[in-house]
Amino acid sequence: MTVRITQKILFDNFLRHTRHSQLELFEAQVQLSTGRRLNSPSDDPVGAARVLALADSQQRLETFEGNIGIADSFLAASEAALMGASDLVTEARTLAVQANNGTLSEEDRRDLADRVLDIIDSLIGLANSKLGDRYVFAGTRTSQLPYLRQGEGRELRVAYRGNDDAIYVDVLHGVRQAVNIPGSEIFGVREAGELQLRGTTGLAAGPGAFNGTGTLEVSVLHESTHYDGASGIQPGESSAEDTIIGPLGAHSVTIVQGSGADGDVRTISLDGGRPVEFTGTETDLVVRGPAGEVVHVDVTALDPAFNGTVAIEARGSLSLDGGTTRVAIEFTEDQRLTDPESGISLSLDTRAVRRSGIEEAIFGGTLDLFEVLRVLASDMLNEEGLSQSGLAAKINERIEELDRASESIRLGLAEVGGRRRALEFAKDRIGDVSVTLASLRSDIEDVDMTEAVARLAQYEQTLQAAMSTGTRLAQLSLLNYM
Amino acid sequence: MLGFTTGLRALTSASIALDVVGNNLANAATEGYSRQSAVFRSSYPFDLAGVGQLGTGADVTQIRRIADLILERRLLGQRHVFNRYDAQWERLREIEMHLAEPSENGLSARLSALFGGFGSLASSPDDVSMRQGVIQAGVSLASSFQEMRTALGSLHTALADQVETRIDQINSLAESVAELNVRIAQSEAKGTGANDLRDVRQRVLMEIAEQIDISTVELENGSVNVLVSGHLLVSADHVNALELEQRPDGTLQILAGSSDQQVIVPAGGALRGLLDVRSGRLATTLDAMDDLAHELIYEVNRRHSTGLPLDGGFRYLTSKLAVSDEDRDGDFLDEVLGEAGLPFEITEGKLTVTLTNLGTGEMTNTTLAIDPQSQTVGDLVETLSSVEHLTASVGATGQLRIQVDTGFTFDFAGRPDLNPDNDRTFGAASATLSSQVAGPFSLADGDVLSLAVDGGVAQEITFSADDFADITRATAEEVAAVINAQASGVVATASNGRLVVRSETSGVESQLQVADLNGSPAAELGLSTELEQGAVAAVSVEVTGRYAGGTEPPLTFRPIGEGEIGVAEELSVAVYDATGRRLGTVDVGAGYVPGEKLDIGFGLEVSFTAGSISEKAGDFFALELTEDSDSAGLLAAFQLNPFFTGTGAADIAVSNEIVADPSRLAVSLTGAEGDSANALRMAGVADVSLKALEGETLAGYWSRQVNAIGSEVQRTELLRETQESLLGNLERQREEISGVSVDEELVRLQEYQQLYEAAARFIQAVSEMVDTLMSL
Repeated sequence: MTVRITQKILFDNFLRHTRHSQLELFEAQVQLSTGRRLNSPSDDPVGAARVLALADSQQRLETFEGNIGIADSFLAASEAALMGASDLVTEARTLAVQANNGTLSEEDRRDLADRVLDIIDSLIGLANSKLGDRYVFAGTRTSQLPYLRQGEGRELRVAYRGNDDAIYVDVLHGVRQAVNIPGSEIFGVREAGELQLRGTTGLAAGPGAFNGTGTLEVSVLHESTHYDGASGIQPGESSAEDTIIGPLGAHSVTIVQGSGADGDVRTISLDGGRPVEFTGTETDLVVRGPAGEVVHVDVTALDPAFNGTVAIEARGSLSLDGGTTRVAIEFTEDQRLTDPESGISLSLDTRAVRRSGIEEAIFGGTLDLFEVLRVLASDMLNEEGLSQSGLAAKINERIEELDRASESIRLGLAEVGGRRRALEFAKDRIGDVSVTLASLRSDIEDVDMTEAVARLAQYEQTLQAAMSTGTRLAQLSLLNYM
Repeated sequence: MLGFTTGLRALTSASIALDVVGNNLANAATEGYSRQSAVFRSSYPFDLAGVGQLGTGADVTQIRRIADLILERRLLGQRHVFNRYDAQWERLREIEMHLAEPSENGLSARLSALFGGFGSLASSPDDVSMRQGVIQAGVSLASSFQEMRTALGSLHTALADQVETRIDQINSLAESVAELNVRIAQSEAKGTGANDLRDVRQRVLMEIAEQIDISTVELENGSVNVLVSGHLLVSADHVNALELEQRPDGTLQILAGSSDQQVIVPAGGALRGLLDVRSGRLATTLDAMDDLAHELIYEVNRRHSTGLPLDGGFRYLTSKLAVSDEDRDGDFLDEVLGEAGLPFEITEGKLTVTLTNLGTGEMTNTTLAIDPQSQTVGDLVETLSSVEHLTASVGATGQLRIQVDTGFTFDFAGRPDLNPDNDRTFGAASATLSSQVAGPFSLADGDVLSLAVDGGVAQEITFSADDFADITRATAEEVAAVINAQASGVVATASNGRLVVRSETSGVESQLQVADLNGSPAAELGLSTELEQGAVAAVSVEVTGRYAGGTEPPLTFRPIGEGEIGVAEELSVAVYDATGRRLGTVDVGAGYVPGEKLDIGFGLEVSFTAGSISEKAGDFFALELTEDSDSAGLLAAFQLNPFFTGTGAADIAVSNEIVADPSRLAVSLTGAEGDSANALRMAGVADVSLKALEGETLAGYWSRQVNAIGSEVQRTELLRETQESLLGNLERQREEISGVSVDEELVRLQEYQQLYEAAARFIQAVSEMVDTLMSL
């Protein structure tokens, strides 16, 4: 049978082909106008799944990038504060060197001390640096003021209320970095060392363990004085102000008869110190020993004929809170002293304690910058009335400590610098990976413009051809010739 | 003279043929019309004797419908295949559209945004706007889930409606077929033929084939029987209508007729396409969404519930999910935990509760064993309430409520016990002797131990078999009871299976010395016979950090050497795991500054204050650790302190407490506002391969679903296109045979017109001949 082509076939064909071309044209146009080849998963199922994974990776990179930004500004804030702190420490060191100058007047010293106190205030300000609402040196206690100033002058204390914890963020896949440096690592350093006692009472560190940081004042207090034997010598009225301490025999007074011109002058001396003349009616005679220790004696009941040496037992006590809680001195090698309030516990060698006074206990290895500065200020004022050389020795110790603090700040700065470099590196990596990801994604998702435009032109031509042949066919009919 | 008859016959035939041509032309555009043609037959000839036969002209004997019946059947068979894929493709496209992938609004992007938010929060956990950001990301994700679930859910319902409409349509079309059968049979019985009726019937059959696959059998009287997968839908003039049944599980079933209720599974047609999508991809996608939401809720909550909000621990918590009274006896408490109707699974494991005394800041950990198969809800309430200061209850709604006494807070962050030496067995101020090893101890009846306390007279302690369940396997508790009963000035206790004997005094005067008087109880009990002295200050131990896993807790710490911490030349502390393996030692001798933190690995640091410790005296302490403070998944199962509430895609939401108060977001594990450890844990959910999701991550699983839908759309589109062109070819073939060609008809028109004119001329000629004859 011959093939019959009916009008319906012609028109249907025409319709189908123009419809098809129009659809292709429309799709090409959508792709060109959106710039995207992949508009629904069925356009390229495998590509769509890849795009989802790539988009997820991109989102992660964005998160990392944001984290790096925040971490870097956090570290930058820490860096600025540390640099400031380093300058302040240098300044304090200069002041300390100045204070070593023996020709300074008391007013000059007060001036220097005031400037050191100002430095403490500035340092507290830096240690409480904030980025936005967050304290950068507070560990993870970021909303709490980390360094709290308490008291004034000798009582000035700076308490750390942050913690030692690090804030971690992910800066690359599997790379977790700490953002902060807890202030405790910078302004208070703990390292192995020994307990040292600075003072003139004869108190020494014991063999036992201790805990505590920075420095602490140990008060060595005089309690009572007892004179051995039956010489009749008695503690004076102001005996409470005696400064000697020691077991029986550690101290003694020597009374010498008739050393004067008329033979009735008697003298009394303490531990071989300068003899003091007395008449026998003194109720509160002050006798000083060779090292400046003091006893008050009542000689009214002294046997007028007594000539010789009287051994003294002077009891004392130790206190960590300025005398409120006292522990009797036992004159042993390992006497333990515990502060019930702070829990600080010390092992002390009390065998050689001979006079009362204030001992400064320095917890070896631990260094609290604020405490160093406070002590420096008080040393500058020379409140203990030390000699020039004694003072110089103390101030030199402070300078040494300031150098160590300076070193610790420098280490902190190096650490911050290292972390910022690592962040920079991570940022570069993210930049590189982002570009790769974007190009991978674009390969799948985006339209190749040249190709799309060419295709558009092609479909346009096809459609035009279909339309022109279609309309020409439609005109063909036998009717035209009848 | 036959001329007139012949001429008339020719005239009539030509005019009939012209009418047929006219009808064809008029139906040139009618769908399903088969062209007709007039069939001319010579009429019976007239015998002229001796001459032969004389023809008598031609009659139109039949108006024939030009159609290829085999082709029509093939068309009927092809139609349903195309329509199946066409319907399937359209609905799949709809599902694909609802997924909105890949775009900013798709689940993938929103999942990424949530986990990215947790990751960013890690850098600024105390920033309220960052917290808001994460919560918003959670809300957007949840609403994406809900919107998509609703859209696809209504598509699921709409598909059922569409199936029902189509079945109604099939039934009414089947009625038409039956009716046409009757009319065709009647017409054809009369011999008039039924060309147009057949065309109409063919068209109706084609419409049925669009909906469902059919096969037809033509009977002798011209009726057709229509079969749908073996079921007789139309039997001549009778229709066995199809019925739709929705089963309780939501699936649809097509039943044949009301009599036999035979289940019909369509092999083609739009019905098959719709049913396939409904029970196939759509159901799979809905399930996948629910699974995804379920796992997301569980995994995020697992971590969130063990974290701490900005303001620290909780005063009370009420579970979002409730247990149900499965056995309907009006009592929630007698249900076994694993079968209490909770949508999330509780596994056998442990739950660590941390209680913080707000006054002293002291924290105590209590670890509770959870077994969902043996414990009832009531047991759980009791177990929780057994923790001092904690009260648990189950309300009338079945929700679990935990609250704590005033002055305390509780949480489940599972920090290591800050002060693990609870039994004061490590460098105590009192003279303390502990067993070197854990019990049981092999004592013998009549063993006598001498015990000198604080330099006093030695006391005798006799171990008699009556005091023990089995004296050869004496427990530390039993031994302690015997000592407490017989000795004064000491207290004996059991700690971690070891016997601990402690003088009641403290300081250097506090002394203990044991010796064997009969048998060797001291050696058996692992007690040193050397003089043990107390100390002025007890050693206190502090553990910090977060256990990162990697060993078998509890860890036991024991000194190596004797002497004062930070002073003695050779002094260290060894760490052992639960199996007794030594994990390492830390040096605490000369050079160690009391209070300094020492790294013991596993993310932990330990520090000791000043004091003496002794290996010989059996000093030790045990550190209980939990990597996962809720290894039972109890909190996530009950949704106590959850991030997400709900159980699946339809009801997932961010907990309203968190939305109302962003500080409730449990970002930290320690309660410090700058601590973001838990945010990092939650961000880590993105990378966890989940067993319930075929070992994929959340995003990976979803991307696989998207890929699957995309592939199916693409595949179906390809099938649809192939079928479309096949069908187009068949239709063209049919058109070639049965279609009306206007040109052809115009030619015929000319032909028949000329025939008519010729016939008229013939009659005129005959008439003239007659006239001629008459005028003779």
